[in-house]
Amino acid sequence: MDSPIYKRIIALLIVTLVYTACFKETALTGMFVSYKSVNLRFEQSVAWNSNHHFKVIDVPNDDYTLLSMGDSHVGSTINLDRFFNIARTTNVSAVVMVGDLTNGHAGDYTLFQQHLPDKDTLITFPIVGNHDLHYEGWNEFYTRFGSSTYLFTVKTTVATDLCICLDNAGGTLGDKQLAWLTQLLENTRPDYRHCIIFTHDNFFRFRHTDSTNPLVEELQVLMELFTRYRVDMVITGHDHIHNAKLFGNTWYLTMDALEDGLSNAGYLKLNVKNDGMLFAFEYLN
Amino acid sequence: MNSKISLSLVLVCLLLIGCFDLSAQPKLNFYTDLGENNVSKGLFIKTAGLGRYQFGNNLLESGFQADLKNTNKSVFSGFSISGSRNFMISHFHLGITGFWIITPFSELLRETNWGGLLKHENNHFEFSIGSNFRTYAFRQKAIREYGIENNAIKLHEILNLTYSLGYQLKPRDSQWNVGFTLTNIDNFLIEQETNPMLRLNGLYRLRTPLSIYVQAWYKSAGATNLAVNYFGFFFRTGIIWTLRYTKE
Repeated sequence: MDSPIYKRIIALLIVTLVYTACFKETALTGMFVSYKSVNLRFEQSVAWNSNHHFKVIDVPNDDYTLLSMGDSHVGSTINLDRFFNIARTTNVSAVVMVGDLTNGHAGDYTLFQQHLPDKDTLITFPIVGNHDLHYEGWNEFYTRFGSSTYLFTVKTTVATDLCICLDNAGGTLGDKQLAWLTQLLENTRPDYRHCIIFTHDNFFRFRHTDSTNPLVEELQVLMELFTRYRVDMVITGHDHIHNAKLFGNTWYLTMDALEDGLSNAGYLKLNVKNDGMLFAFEYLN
Repeated sequence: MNSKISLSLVLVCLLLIGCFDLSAQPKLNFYTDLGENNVSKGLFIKTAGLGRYQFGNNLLESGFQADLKNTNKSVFSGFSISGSRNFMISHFHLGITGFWIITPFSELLRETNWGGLLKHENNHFEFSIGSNFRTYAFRQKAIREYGIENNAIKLHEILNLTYSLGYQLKPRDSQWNVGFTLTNIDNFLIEQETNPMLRLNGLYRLRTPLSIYVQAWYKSAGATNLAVNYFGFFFRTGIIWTLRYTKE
């Protein structure tokens, strides 16, 4: 070694690695060790799907409204309650929650579930995010909500739309989920009017942040796939600050976080019509 | 830039090597990658060639990459050109590099990157830091086929941090060496700043001006999300040929 400072840096890295690998109670563990791999989560999701039919939402008009939110990071539930109240009192067909709903603790999941509206009053679709995985949080998610890779369709008086929910909470879809998605688009996309994809990690970097995105190779494959199969919109969270970019014929949206205490806390309102889709980022404050 | 122009540029660069200053040290580097990842649908095989021409403290490098087996339907998958200059600041060796890379990764899309790096290396450690601008763009075929509007042809990302931190077990001019590097930069690929790759490497200098090397690259996703997941790996084996070898 050339200098004692290098020795200290390497020693610090080794100590951090050993500590985080040995004591799973720290969230830093997830930097070095997979909790549950995305392939394992996908297999569990597929198993759950085989016993639960994909939901079909019938709407009596030719247009409808979806709300989407992400990054509530429960913890506390002030904004979550306000959001669900808005969803219940406006005529929305469903709510899609794109991950980081909790901070991964079992107590957070319990609190979230307590505040989740009854299925008879509001249709909700949860997806897992990276924070939901912390502290072995996938077990809690799966036990309470089931699959994180699934689809639902919305049938209007004139057409049917395809909504696909994906698990990229580990920064990748994994090879199995990607194969499932590819096959789904190949086989069924022409049967539907619009196609919307919901997932947690946002795709592109428009600001400096320590939150990560899918690797470049995966983005390259997904961009081509979404172009070929005319995916209309990709809705994500994760970055906590909203962004909208039209690239090709696909809108890539990132939503504001719903987390309490943020000045920009908000959600997405999506009005789907026969001739297109209108979206608006709504603030709670 | 289409593949014919890119390959022509590489050939011109290679032909220029050896035509100038006799004290210059041209090098050729050919390698092959074999690996798999979450999007490769099994084994992928890539090959690449880079020509380097060093004259004094200046260095020019250009190269191309071809996909021999991949999900990418076009064989030509990368072209790069870079220029560097080495200098010293109070006994501290530094190198500054500017680069431009184009990767036509599918029939429909391409990616371009340009940026700069500041590099320092001593006998054992190598450290570089820099930035790059990434742009994804649709190719003409896609624009025509899918009716893409002018305002949706390109997507520019914000300035990305590039870095490399490496350690070699033995001094750099040893006959053999092994080491490791943590980086988000490869010759034809730059990952986001939050997606580091781990590279283990070994090199052996043959008696002639030839060196052979092997590298093992490991890629994970989501490490800085604290929800890490395996993404992929590949092995690289290559040969470096110093055309006019002078012992330093």
